[in-house]
Amino acid sequence: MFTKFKNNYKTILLDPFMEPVQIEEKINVILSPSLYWVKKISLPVKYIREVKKLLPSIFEDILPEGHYSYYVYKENDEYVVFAYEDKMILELMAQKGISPSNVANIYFAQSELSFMEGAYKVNEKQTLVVKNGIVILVPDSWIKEVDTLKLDDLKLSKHAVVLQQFNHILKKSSFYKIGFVLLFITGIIFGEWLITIDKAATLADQRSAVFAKYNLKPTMMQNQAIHAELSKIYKKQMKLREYIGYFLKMHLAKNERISYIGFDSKVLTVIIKGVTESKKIIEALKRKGIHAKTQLKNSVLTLEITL
Amino acid sequence: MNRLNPLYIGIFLLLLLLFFALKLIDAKKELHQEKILYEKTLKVSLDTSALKKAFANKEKEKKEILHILSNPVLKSARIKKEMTNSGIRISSQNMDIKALNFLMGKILNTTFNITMLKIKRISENKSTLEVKIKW
Repeated sequence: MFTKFKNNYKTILLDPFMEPVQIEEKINVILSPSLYWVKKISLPVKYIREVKKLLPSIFEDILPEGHYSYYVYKENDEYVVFAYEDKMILELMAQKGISPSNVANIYFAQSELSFMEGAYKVNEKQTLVVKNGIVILVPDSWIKEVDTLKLDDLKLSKHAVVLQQFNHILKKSSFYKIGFVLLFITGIIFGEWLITIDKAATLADQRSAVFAKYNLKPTMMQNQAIHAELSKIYKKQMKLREYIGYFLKMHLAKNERISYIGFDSKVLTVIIKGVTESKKIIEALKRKGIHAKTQLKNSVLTLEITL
Repeated sequence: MNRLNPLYIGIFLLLLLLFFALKLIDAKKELHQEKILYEKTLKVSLDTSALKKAFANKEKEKKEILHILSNPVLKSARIKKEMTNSGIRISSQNMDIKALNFLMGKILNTTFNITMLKIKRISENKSTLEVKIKW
């Protein structure tokens, strides 16, 4: 029933001279000694995290040019330190038909096979032996009695490593820096987003408060209609007062007299008697921007202004 | 290789950034709309409130016009007033120039909604008057 959750993956030894394989299920990979550098050292430090900082300098004299990752674990009083090239291992895996997505865990031959006694054939030319506690490869011709390596029954340790697929493009620290920058920018944008939605919510609240304070109708359409109506009244009343004021102050000729001022909600009518020539009055009105309909009959000038 | 690929984390962070950037753009647009709406509401409210005070304050306008009409200057004009629920109609058939100037000065300088006005000169110093104010 719970077989789905079992981790009994097949284990293979990854070696540059191995035959390509066809893998469709998940597997564990043990790296051949030719794929990493290993040292067993005693250091006057207590914790592994302190050793980790020293790893590049431990290997700096022996490693060729490249981008390396490091790993360390403690064995008795000694530290077993590793250096490996992610890109090289990944390329080899690709060459041998192993997809990284099919790889469950990657181990070093050193951490998994250092207990073995005797010699085990790895490929046509090399054999795996343990010498002074270090797993090494030796030419086949050196060893007379060779066994076959059986990995499926092997109980694997917890010393698995994760290959950095982009280590050769970007350093891990650069990844962290870029990640941090992205996270920082995301944080700023997230903060700005929160502030913006808060501001929008505050404005919406203030708008509701305005509705309550000024006792507005429930919808803006109703309020705008009321506003438009009152504005119309205001404009008309202001014009009415302005025009009446203008006519009352108007300079008329000696015998000219305003005899009537009337307003019927739309049209302002002014009648001036004794007008012989309407031109002056009409021009004065035009200068003021008042457009009037005029009629002069029997010295009576009728002006009709639509408000 | 069970650990998460850093590229996936990078893509995830980028997508996260993009998501919040889009959210921020939307929120900014919303805020802009909200600002416009708020300013519009405030303007409409202030204007409407001021206009209502000026032209739709029935009790205040009624009180004011009655106060104006009670002035002794207008006594000789024998002003007739017809008060209805929606306004007042004032008329006089014989109004001297002093009373006319006083009444029109008061009416025109107060924010009454004048819906009808008729001032007719009947002699050098006399005129007739008819005014309708709506509230």
